[in-house]
Amino acid sequence: MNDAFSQLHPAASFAFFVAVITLTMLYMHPVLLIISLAAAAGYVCILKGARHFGKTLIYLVPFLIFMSVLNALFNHAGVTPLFYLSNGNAVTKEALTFGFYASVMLSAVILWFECFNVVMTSDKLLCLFGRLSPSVSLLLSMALRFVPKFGRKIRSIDAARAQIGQGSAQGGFIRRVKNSMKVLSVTLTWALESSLTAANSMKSRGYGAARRTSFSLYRFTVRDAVTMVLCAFAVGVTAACVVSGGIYARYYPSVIISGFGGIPALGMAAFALLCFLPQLFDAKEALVWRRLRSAI
Amino acid sequence: MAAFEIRDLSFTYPNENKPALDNITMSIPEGRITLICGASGSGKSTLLRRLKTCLADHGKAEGDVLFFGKALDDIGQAEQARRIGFVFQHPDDQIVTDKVFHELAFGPESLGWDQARMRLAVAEMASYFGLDELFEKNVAELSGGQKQLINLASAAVLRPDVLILDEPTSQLDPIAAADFLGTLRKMSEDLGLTVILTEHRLEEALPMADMLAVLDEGRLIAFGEPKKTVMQVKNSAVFESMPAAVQIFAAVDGEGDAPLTVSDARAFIALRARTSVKGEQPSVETCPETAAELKNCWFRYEKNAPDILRGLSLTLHKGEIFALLGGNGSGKSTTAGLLSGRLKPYRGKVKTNGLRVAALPQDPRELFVKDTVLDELKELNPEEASLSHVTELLELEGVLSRHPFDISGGEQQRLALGKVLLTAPDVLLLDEPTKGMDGEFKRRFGELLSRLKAEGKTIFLVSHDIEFCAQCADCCALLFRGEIVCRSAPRKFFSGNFFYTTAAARLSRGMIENAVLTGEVIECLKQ
Amino acid sequence: MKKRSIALILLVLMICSLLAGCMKNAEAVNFAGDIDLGEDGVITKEVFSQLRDNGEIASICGNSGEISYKWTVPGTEVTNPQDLCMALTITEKTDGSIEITLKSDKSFGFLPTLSVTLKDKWDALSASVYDADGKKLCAASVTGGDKTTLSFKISADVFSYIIRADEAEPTPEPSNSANLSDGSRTEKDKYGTDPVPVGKPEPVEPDKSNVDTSKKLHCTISIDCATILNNLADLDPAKLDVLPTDGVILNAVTVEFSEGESVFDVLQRVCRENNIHIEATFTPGYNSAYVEGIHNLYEFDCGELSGWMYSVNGWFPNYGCSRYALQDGDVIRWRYTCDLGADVGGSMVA
Repeated sequence: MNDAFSQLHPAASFAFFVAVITLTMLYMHPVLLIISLAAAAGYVCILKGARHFGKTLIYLVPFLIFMSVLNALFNHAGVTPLFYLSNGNAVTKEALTFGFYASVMLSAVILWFECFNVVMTSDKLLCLFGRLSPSVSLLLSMALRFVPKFGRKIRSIDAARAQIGQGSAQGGFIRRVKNSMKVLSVTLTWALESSLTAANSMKSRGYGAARRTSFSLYRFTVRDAVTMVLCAFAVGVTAACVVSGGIYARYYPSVIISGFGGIPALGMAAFALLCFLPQLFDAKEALVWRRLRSAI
Repeated sequence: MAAFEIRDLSFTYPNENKPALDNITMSIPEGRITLICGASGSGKSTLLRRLKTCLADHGKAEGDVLFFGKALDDIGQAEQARRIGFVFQHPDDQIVTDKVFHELAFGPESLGWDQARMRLAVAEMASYFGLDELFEKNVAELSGGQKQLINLASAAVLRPDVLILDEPTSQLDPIAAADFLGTLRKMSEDLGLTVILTEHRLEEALPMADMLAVLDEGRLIAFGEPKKTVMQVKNSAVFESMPAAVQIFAAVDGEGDAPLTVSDARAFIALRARTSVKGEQPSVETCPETAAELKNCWFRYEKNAPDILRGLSLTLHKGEIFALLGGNGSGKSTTAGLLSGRLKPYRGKVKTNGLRVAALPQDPRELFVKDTVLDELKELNPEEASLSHVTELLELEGVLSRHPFDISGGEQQRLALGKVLLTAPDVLLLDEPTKGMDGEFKRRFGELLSRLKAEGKTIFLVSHDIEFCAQCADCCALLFRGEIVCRSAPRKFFSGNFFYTTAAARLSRGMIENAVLTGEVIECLKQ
Repeated sequence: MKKRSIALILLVLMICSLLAGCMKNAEAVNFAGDIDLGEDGVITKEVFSQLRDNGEIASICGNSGEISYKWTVPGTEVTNPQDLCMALTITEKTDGSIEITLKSDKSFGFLPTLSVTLKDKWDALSASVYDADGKKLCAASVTGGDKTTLSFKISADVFSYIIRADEAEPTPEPSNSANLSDGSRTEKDKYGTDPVPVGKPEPVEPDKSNVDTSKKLHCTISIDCATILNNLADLDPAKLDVLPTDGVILNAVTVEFSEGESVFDVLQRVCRENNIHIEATFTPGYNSAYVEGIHNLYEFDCGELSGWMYSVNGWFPNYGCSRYALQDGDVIRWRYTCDLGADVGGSMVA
């Protein structure tokens, strides 16, 4: 993975994901959804490889179909009945359509979140939260350290106690519960002990001696500012198109989908610009590389 | 000017009569490495903690501590935090955050440095310590040595005037320990940093120290240049922890400055060893009966992970002490895991012949759940006879009513061993049992192992501690990349090795044949 | 890798074009709001053009003395915008009938629905609309609580209407008197139904009723949502599309049913036969089907107090429609309420 977009400042990446995911969830317009889905799929391919995306499809496609069918089975609104169920309710074209687009929306959101998880590492999130509150950031970081450590220690203690016949998997049910309780008790004692050292280590390095700041690995550059302005612009144009009624989608009682013509096309283009922003970044980078190489 | 001026410092813990520090006066010079040594419980850590207000224990303190001529108590917390760096014993426990860079930035963050200053300080430290590769790593992925290096770096990132280190290498393997001390020495030399250090493993630490302070039961019994000071403490308990060179020098009544390095010591031995003396040939008497056996074992932790053990075969004879040596990641602990049945090989066989195998955990406290030592032993519902036998064998009579967490590290080790012994194992597996033990504790632990051996127990030992293995083991083996490359009786094993051998063997190579233990060298020299 | 991504892009394009083909460029109907008739009662051509071009529905309000009225004008029906005087003169006659006269006799060119709200309550379940010659034109929906509203769609080239209350329909003789409430039950039954008023049929559990297909009986059923016309501002705008402009979904029809069938059975069958959408769910707690929506007009579509109710012979049963066993000659009315029944004469609050 060599993705230019994920090297942006966390604030810029975060703003991008918030914008894309919110717009995708907010406006159930088929064209917007398809754009979003295609962009998300493309970005997943870039971040995790096409092979991984292929694996994702294996559960995504059945999910798509399942959701459409499920919606049609439980929602009977709509003016076009296709056939009737035994309870007298109709399966309507509208419910099927809505179910399909709802699942497209969900798939897109799932894929975006998959990208989010790759791009927004815990460091980046911490950096973001650190700006809001350095103590929250520290707390999160300590929790991220402590929780796995606690888990490892429990396993280690259990293994140690299993050697004297007191492991959590030894003996009858009651015995096991008792042994597990003891393992937990030892772990808690250990946690207290080690947290004393940690507390000393924190005090020794000035914890509480002054107002905390938060170290950030990332620098906010012009690039990040430009990205955020682009995002804001795209969101603004799209939202304006939707609010003005240019981009409009309704599924019940009848399916009405608007959005063909100048203004809606502008909104869709803006949305596409937003969604494909990572690819655009990568494409630009690739072009520069090619030019550099040919210059050599 | 002295970095620390300690005047008539006494300290008594609450509810104790005996002072932990007794009227200590010393002046720690600026820009030098001061090594403080002493047996366990001699007050080393207590003294170090008095040098930083926020870490000082509660209790009754008298006397003054001056930091660059100013009373320490008058210096604010933030200034102390910046100017006095502190590294603790356990590498893992003192790391607070989840990422290396965040840990480095912890101090600057706490002191409220701005982004630019933090960035520079962190970058500088990471470059100096060569941490670029580790910079964004999760601390859980690091080895103990790397962790301790991070701790050193994150104390140094505040650009302190003084660095205080409390047994920083006690939990590290010898190679990581030497690396760590090397870095420390380089820092001190490069930056003129004042370093105050306590250590129990003096082999490497002593030669690099500019000043040596020896504590005994809270009193300062010697303070000065190491090569002179060591000879002043010849008769104290701490002398057992001194490097082989010093011990040999003292035992044969050398005069003048004690040799601290291998080359100095070899020069001295060359002078003294008039004849090339041949040490006694090792007596090999192995019981033919097999206690446990690994046959062509292959093991890896995950399907796609690399093999840890590659066709390892190993036989444990009944009633022997078997020591398995090897570097980090060579598969020592994994081998112990296979023997204990905790891990299973994916190819090959583990035979224990129906014998009970029990392992002692590295951290003895993992077994403690009760309020007193006696209850702790009774947890396993032993018979009266075996209980008193174990108590006697492990010399736990004196501490039966104490809390398991309040007794010393050596006693904790023995208590944990006692608990394991009460399950009547035939084969005992010990993983790094001497980690963090000083010389005296080690000797007593060695004696204990001999007693257990006399009772017919088979002992399997995994260790980095070459000296200890040379002293106690009947059979040593070197594990390398999941295979045993060499296996023989310790004398043959260590006298045959060039690098991987005891200090005594290194000192006497070419002059005294087959000498492996410090005592043997001394004996030969005395002849 | 490259082949894969090309295949992927092709796939996405295919889906896109497929979907684009399915889409139609339709406009949704909006509610333009209330337009007050001025002094002269004239609505200008521009207003109608705007309604037509935007496909909006408008309520045009005016009053004649204490009687107010409202035109529901669907812009989609306006073909030829022109200035129109839509003012009315409404008088309440001594015989109880209402006389409505248009001030102008210019043909509208479209047929809006007229809702007249009287100054007090009218005591009738249904009413009919007649022209000046006494010829019956259509039925008028009777809605409203304290003030009765009468709604009907005007006829072409008729400028004067008379509305008269219908003769009260004779309540059919109960064929199964054993099923009528005698007031002996004072507790709620196991489905939480309060005691049924004396003389009204007790609920019959749908799983226990025997449908005798050999016995063919008849009943009358109608479905309307005229109350929405007075509450257009509250209506979910998406539902303006399906709203019948005169509020009538199904004019009263007489249908055949088998003995033992319930109101719900008949509703479902009639809807299926007339291609009227319906959604109902069986609610075990009430042991009855609950009608959520008819003709895509759902509960809560027109305010929080809206939903479907039914009455049989003018009485709104206090139990579900699957538990009402029909008698021969019953008159069923399904009515959409915007006020928990108060506006259709079956207040659930009471």
